[in-house]
Amino acid sequence: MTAILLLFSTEWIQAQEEVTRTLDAIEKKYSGLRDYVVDVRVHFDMESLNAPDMQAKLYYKAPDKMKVESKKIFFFPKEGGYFNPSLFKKKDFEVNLLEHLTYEGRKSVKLKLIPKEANRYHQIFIVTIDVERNLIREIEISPSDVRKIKTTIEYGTFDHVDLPTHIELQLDMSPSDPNEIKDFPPFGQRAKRITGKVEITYSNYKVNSDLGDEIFKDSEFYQPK
Amino acid sequence: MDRKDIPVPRDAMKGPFHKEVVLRTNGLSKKFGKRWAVKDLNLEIYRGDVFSFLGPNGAGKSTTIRMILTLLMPTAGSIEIFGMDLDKDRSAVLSRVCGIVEKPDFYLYLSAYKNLEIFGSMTCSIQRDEMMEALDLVGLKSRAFEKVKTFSHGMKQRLGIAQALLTKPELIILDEPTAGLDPQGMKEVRGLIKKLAKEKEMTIFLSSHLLSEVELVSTRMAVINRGELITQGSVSDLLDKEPTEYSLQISPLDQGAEFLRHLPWVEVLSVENDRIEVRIEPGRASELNRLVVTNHFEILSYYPHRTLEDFFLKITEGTSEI
Amino acid sequence: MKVFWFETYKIFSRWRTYIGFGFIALIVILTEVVMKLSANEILYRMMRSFQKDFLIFGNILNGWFVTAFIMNSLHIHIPFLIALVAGDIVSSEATSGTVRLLLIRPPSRSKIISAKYLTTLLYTTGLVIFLALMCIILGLLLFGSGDLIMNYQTQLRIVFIPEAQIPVRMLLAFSAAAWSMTVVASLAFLLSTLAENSIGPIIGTMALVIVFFVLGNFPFDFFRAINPYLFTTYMIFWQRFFDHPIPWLEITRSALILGLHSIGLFLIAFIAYNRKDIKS
Repeated sequence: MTAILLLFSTEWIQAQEEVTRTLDAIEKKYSGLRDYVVDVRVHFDMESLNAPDMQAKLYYKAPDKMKVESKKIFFFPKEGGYFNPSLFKKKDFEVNLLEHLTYEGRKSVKLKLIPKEANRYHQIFIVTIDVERNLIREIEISPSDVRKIKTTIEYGTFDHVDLPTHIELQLDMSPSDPNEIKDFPPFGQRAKRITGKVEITYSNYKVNSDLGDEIFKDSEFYQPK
Repeated sequence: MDRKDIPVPRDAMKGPFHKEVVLRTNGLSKKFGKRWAVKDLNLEIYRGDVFSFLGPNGAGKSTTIRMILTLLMPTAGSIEIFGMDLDKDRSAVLSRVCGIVEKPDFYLYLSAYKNLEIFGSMTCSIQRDEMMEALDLVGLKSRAFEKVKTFSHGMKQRLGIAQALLTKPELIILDEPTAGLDPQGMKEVRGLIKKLAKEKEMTIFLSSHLLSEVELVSTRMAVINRGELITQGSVSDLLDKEPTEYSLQISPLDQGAEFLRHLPWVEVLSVENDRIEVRIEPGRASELNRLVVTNHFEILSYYPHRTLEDFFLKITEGTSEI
Repeated sequence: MKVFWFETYKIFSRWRTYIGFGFIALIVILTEVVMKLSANEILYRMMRSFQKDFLIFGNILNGWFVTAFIMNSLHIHIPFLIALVAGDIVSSEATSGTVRLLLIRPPSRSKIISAKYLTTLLYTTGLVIFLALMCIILGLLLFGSGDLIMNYQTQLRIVFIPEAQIPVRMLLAFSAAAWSMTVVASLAFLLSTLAENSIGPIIGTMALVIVFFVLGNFPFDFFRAINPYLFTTYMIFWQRFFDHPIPWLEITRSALILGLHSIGLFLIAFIAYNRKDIKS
């Protein structure tokens, strides 16, 4: 009995060590990334949002400054829409190793990250990481009946930094008010789930161009008051 | 005897007009529901006529005029004006006709000038000068650019006449032209009617219930009652069919009265105040005049009394409300 | 043409014609000022379902959006303003007595009634154009330009129109709005032809439009069945020009149905006027 307990605890310890190594490796990989500027193109394939492709310029400065510059109206996914390497710092999450797997022919691990600080949506993250190149390949956010966002990331190398070239988000979310009904019974429609796909393409990266903080002073996206 | 005291026979008032038929109705009829407002009306109006259309209220005068002016659709019959069928050649006919039905109404929010321009230009091209001339003719030149809502009834009536004359029509149709006017206004309208007929050679067709007015201006007339034509002809011919009353001043008075009593075709009605009132057979007025003169009586005055009213009441069987 | 120009002159010489324009100016100014002051609330309501998951950038509350917003109430207030003039244009001649001078002129009744109808259509179109210009000019001045987001509440979706496409779509939409308003104008015109006063046609037109709208929106089987036969069902087809893709078939069908209504109503008025006895 003691041997079994010892065996499990050893395995758990090993798993935790592997998780730590993986996340530390990613953190180290992007420690040299100070900022980037990139052209973003967003394509929507959603029933409830009929929109043409939108374009903007995205500015990022480590650790968490982001700004979008667009001459026109621009919708940008809040989660998984832009690459922020410091999003998954180990100190911010309780991390569990779910499985080892092969992802596109490469050794990968699947981790479950539970934020230590509770957030509005009680989100949890299931992240697939290519451990050979230390790249986050997939993120599943809050996989449940209420809300599910699955992000798939492809990378390119720009100034020796691996940055996303293509992010695909698959959305399956409940409406803001599930009890909202449009029209009268029996013809009334309950507010529908928001489903579909958003594809974000990144191009023309300028990496580590030493962006000043003043660029991020007026972040222009609309927020409810 | 002074010639000026002898009344001039009416026939001599007819001018040298060619007897062209300007307006003819053939079996003209109008039914409203089950009631015949006008039934089988046959009228003829000649060029140069001042033609009066008489009848009691509700006789069908306005209905007839409205049919002639295409405001009402006849139930049966036809109307010819200037030899053209009104139904087929409406536009050509009405370009030579003008009319006023009941009181003339205008666009109160527009000026007199603008009203004339709108109504006149729908018939033919009208120049500014012509419009001002028409307004001047009816005494409204100084009010040309004021809105019609500031006009009195009499001024609107005059404006109505101005719009009727503006396009120089050959036939003017007037429905109760002096309705609502004061005596001075009535006199002016009557004078204008006579002038138009004589000087402008216009044919005038008017309806009226004022017999005095009819007698003073008309050359021919028709009487309608309960939608049907009672009689039609020249005023003098119609009146001459009936006995006529005259008033004479002859000297010596009593002998003159006695002389007249002996004439079988003369009825002495009264002898008083230097006058002898007589009723004579139709068409014998000049004979009476000759006999009095040849029997050495002096005629100081000799004139007929109004008999149109009697004539009218008689033929309409006293149904008049006049 | 002369008759048409005189009819136009007469209409625009009356002060009541300008009530409509004044009312529209007032509505547009008030609405846009209030929207300027309540911008956040409006955007929140509109973007509620998306702002949870998306960051939204850009000038959403722009002049085009405000114009589309005001257009959504077009079928409520514009019919009354149209009926005010269209319901009066024929019957006022009887009321004022000018019909007795008008119809004894050489131009046929057909010409006169046609001229009056064309004038009515001119007024209707002018009113809609005025609304368009007021909304767009004032809207762009107050709110600037940008892409247009249309929120189709009953279909639970948002359509995004790029700025470059908006002017043409707006032109088409307002043209369609004018087209749909000609049915109201034709209805008021017909009632005006049949009546001897103006109040009846004005109230009658408004009553019919309101009743049809209400009946068409009742959520019961019977009223759903008669919906296709009510012209009000098709009156807001101009909104379809802000959809993507533009449903041309549906738009054409609605336009045809409304056009047939207008023509039919005018034909009835045409025949009635030619046969009418003028007793007043």
